[in-house]
Amino acid sequence: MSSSQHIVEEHYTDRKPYVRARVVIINLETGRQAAIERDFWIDTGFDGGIHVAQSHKPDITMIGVNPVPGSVSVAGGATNVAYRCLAYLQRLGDHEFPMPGIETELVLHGSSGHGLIGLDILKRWTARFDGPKELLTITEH
Amino acid sequence: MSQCTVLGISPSEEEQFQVATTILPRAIEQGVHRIDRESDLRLASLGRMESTAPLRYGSLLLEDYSRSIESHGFPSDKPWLPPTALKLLGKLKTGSITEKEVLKLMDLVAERASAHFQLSEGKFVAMTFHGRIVEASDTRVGLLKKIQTRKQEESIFVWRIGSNAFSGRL
Repeated sequence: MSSSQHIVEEHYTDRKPYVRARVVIINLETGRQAAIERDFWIDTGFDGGIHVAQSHKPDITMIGVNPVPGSVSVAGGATNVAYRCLAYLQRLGDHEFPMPGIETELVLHGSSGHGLIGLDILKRWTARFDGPKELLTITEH
Repeated sequence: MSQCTVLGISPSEEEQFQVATTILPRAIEQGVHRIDRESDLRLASLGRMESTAPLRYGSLLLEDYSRSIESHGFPSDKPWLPPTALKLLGKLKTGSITEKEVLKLMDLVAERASAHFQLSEGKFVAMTFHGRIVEASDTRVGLLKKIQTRKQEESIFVWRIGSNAFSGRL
């Protein structure tokens, strides 16, 4: 008998595996929070946690969390400056994770309209990309 | 070298030891100069490619760091960083630094610090722009958790030892 549980089962949007997700940054000293909710591309080519546009940085500094600079490699092999902080993935598709959510790296970089969810998050599940059906399934065993 | 190791040796061995200790600092110094020269050459080749446009407010917000680039770990009159890194630190303080130069600075500092502290490849490390290690961890999340609640007297950056990116495209 299988004990697997579907986390996500969604058809592609614009022929790409996007999933709506909510990421929360928490100031652990004050309890203040900043939430980012948007479409995220499930990206197996990104070895980090979650990537969003740098325009979210002011929302994070406003709650007293200061993202730390570092570097990020981008498609084509170039390296850019990016900012990082600890964040929590609280919802993926319709699936809510137990509070406070899944601890992850949040990378603030660039100006893309969508976010990325990378291997550091996906490593805990089985992800299946059904190309012909344009269907993404993420399962927890 | 502690004095205990010298006490138990014969006079001839002691003589050899004294010769070795006089040569050693010079050898290290020569090694450091060679690294500095190589760093200068690398930066010179990089400089031909990069944009000279300074970073503006809102892009990297480097003005946040200009106020707090102070060395607490190493005296400024006895720097351990190569001259190239010190020049870039000066530019960082004034805010007139490009993104490529910031990356170069982080790379130089991380390279020198990881060699000095013998950090193993793959470690995730937070360090100051003067090369003082603030925290280290085996995982990205582990490192970010450690530094999230710490009050930093000095600006820091995060780096993955042996890599040019903390995370990114594979």
